Amino acid sequence: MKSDEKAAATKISVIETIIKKYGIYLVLLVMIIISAIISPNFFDSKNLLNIARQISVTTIIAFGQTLLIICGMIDLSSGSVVALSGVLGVSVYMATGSLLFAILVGILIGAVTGIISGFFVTKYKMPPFIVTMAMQLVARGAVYLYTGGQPIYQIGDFKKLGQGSIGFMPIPVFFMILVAVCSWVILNRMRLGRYLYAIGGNEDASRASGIHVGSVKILAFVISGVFAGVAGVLLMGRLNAGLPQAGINYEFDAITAAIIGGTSFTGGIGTAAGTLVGAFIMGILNNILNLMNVQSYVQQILKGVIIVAAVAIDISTKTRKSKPVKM
Amino acid sequence: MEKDFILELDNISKSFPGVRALENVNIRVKKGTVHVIVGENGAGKSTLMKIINGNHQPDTGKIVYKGKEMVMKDTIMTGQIGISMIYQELNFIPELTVAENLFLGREPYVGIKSILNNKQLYKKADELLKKEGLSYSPYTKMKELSVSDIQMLEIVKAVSIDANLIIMDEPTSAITNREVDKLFDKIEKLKEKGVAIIYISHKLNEVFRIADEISVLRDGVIIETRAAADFDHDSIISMMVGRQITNIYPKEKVDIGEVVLKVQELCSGKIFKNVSFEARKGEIVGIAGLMGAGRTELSSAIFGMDSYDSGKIILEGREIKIRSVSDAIKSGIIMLTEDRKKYGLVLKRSIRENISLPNLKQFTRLGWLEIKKELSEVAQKSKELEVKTPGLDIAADSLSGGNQQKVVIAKWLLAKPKVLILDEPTRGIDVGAKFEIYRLMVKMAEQGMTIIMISSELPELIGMSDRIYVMRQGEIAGELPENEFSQESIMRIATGG
Amino acid sequence: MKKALIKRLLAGILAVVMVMGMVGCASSGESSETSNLSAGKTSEGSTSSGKTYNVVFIAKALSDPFSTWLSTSIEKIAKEKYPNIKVSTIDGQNAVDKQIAAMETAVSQKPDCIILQMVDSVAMVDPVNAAREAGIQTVMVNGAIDDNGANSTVDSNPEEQGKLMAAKAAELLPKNANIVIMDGPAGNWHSNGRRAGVKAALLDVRSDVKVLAEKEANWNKDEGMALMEDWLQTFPKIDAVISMNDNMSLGALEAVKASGKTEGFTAYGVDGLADACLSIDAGELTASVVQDGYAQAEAALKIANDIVTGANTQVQLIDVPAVLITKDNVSEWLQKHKDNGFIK
Repeated sequence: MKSDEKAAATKISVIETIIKKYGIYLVLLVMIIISAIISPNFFDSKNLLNIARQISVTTIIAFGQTLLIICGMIDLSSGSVVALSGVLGVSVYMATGSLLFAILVGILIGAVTGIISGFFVTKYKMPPFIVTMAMQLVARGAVYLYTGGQPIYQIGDFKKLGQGSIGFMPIPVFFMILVAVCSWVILNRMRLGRYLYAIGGNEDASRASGIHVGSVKILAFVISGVFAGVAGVLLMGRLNAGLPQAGINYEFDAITAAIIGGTSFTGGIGTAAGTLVGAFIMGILNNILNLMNVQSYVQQILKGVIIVAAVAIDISTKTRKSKPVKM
Repeated sequence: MEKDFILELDNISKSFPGVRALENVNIRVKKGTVHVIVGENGAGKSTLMKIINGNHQPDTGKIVYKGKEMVMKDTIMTGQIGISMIYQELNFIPELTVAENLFLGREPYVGIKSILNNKQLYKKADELLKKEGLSYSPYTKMKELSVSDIQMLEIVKAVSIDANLIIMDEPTSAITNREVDKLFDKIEKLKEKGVAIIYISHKLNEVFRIADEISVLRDGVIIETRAAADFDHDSIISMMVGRQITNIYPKEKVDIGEVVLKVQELCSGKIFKNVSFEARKGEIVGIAGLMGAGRTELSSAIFGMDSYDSGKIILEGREIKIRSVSDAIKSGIIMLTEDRKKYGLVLKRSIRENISLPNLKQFTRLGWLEIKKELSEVAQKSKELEVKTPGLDIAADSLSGGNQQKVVIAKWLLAKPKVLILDEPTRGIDVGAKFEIYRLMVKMAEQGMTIIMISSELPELIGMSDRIYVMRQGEIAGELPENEFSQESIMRIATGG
Repeated sequence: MKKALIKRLLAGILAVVMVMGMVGCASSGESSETSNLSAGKTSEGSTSSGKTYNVVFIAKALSDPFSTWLSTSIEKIAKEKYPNIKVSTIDGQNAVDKQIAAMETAVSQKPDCIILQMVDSVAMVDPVNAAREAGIQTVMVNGAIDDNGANSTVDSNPEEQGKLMAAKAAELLPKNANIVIMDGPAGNWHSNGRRAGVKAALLDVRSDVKVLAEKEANWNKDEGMALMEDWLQTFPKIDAVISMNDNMSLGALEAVKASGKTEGFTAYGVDGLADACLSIDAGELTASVVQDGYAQAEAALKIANDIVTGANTQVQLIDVPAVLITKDNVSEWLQKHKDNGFIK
């Protein structure tokens, strides 16, 4: 009798852990099923690649946000850094004709903005919210200053970065997967990842464990900046122009994807896979609403409702109390 | 003939998960008297006070106040019925002004309860401060006051509520002698008005100055209640600590080797000064002292969490400079902090991640974590320490206190320390887990580790240490070899009595 | 050519680094304003003898290419034709509150005249009236405010622009064509006006043309592109996109090019800026309608000059006619953009 109860209890707890662990994946699955039912076009391989291509830029940014939010921080400058690094990447390409150089400059600009934000956050103990908000203004201002507000046109083969393919794989999607893998490796297979989780979970304990908290934080900003830099170059390629106005509010879409994917705003919790799922949920939502030709005002309402619902399901499955482990 | 009782506690018991804090406590407090409660740290005094003040509810037993049985719902309710409390930890909001703080929760209003009457507030506060002879303005912000000012203000605040019963938990821990005199005058006046006072203190000389009655609390049980005149200094101490030390301390003889850690003339501002001591291979060195004696601060400095101004730290004959925690870890000096939740664990993360956190370099090759190696070493350590958990990927906050402490120990043992400083290693954990931690200490000592144990539990220090240093007011006030260990001797040095 | 670009790039990076260096010291709002004021001051030296007049140009948003075109044109024309007029520029930052603040700043400087490219036709009425009460007249450029014609205004009629574009589409679209439409932000005055023109000149006259879908892409290239990608998945055959500005059509074209369905596809937009002209020249964008920023600037300055010199204080309403750009006349416009420095 008692052992039966125990078995039943473990069974429930297994289901519970599955729901707990995969709550947001289930949400994605349900969305895919619903989409496939209401739109026959949805499962078309072209449409799936289409979704992947559309979400690639914000998803790359979202991985940077994920690392930062796990560490208890945030980066509001991503959208502006996208514009700055993208436009400078375009300029470098125009000057040198080298796509590699262009990407490297994008990465460099992202890294520099990350170092600056990280420096102010660690050195002056300023809240990341404020520092990166300032960086948002500075980077946006800088790109307007550099371009005089005028887009850069006729960027030639630069557009391949955004529109080309490697085999069947669109280049932005390739980079998105690359960044996803990098993020997974950082979080699961590198010391840095452990430190990010630890600092986000308990900064005092991390310091008392001998972690150089400041350096880790700066590094997190640099990585986020580098991702934004890559995203910027890809975006300009996709748009076939160096647009200084591009990327406005991209950081919010990215943060939303991370949060939907189960990254906790209080820090210490989050996964790379979750963020990818979060980004796909957002992308599919946009796609299906467009495929169904839903009026844009209604779209906005639906999006808001579905985002809240997805996160509510995720959180409620996670916080369902599992009994503390008894001795 | 007898004065009326204002408060009667009848068979009060209270348990926390894993700890029996109070057992069948009976106390009667007469109007217009001072009832002192003494006991070791962890004897249950604070829990008892919190029950009287409505912060905790007793599991069993009843509280009779002014002759009526009552349930002390919360502090708002106890405040309304005339009980006020001065907490040991100071309660104040730094950004508030003195007046706002004094009348927090009972601010004067204009008309219906909606608009603050600031004029009235500051006028009343000013009157009160003048009456009590405090010189600062009611407009001063709390954060600008010194600790002793704040403590005096807390006292003034408690007294200003026209209370019938005032609970004072270590009220003199932060104030000067002159202020102590002032406080005691105040207490005398309150007594004349019929106010009863429950007074908790470590400082026995103070206790005898004001006590009418004294109750001794030990391990959640009232050992003795008598009129103050029937006690003397020594009898109180022996009752406070009086437990027989049996074999709950599995201490074994270990060959003690050469000096490993030598600290010379270490100073840090007013926190500790000229601290010199040494610890040998295989030795368990106890550090005793009252709260605020500077024990934790000293060890934090050696561990690189706080800084020190001057002095030397010599490890295995070589002077080392410790500027950060990672310096200390690299040198092989490790500290288990007192506040496990704040400094010991990342509660949200798994046991595995917690144990490997400071040791990840051991598991890194070419920047890549060797998860298998990590898993096997973590599993081995947690098995060695008998951490009871269904798995290593369980979040640390789902473990009991004792197992959490074992996780912290596992984490630091993996760092292969030469010197292990344990700050209150058994605080908040139950007897069984305590015993296991003692056994571990012995094992580590046998393996040649140097262990420094800071503890407020004297039996534990006596039971486990090879040598004990006693700190008082930031200085090493005495050193006791094993044959001179006794709780009385330690307390005498610690209190300066 | 390449050397010049590298130079420009280095200068740009230097500027970026310098601006970033100031992050701790100055809020960016201040820094942009001071830079504008100093830009105004630099033209001080070039004024000739005689009485000089101060004119403040309040732009809609200097991050917007058309706004930039207006502002550079105004400064250029002032220097060339009206040496007695000193122009300083304030950025309205595409926000009503910022532009109101800019008006207040301008009035406090007591200029002789204000040229305003409004962000909002209703919200800017009060600030313009306040300026008038302070004795300063405002000339509206690129859009009127709801003032019942009380202020001199230079504009080109958005409905006319929409009609010009739509008439070209009506001419070129095949029988039973399927089209998609992209609009500017909901409720936008220019977008609504142009959309009315599209209705009048295309939808009402070609009942065979079917509108498959219509949605806001908020003037943005990236949104236009993503929207078109989704539509291309949904609709097997799309013959044309008609957008209320060029940006959205250019984004849609990127999506069409990527899908390979360019055969017979036509795209229409409004603005006629450098990128659109280049695209027309490359045979991609079919037609655009230019709002001639240079001509608008010229007209606005002429009115301002009339006001400050007292030559004509009557309210003047000038309609700068819209011009259709197609492959036939694009070279002329490309040259104009080159002259203005927008194409290198």
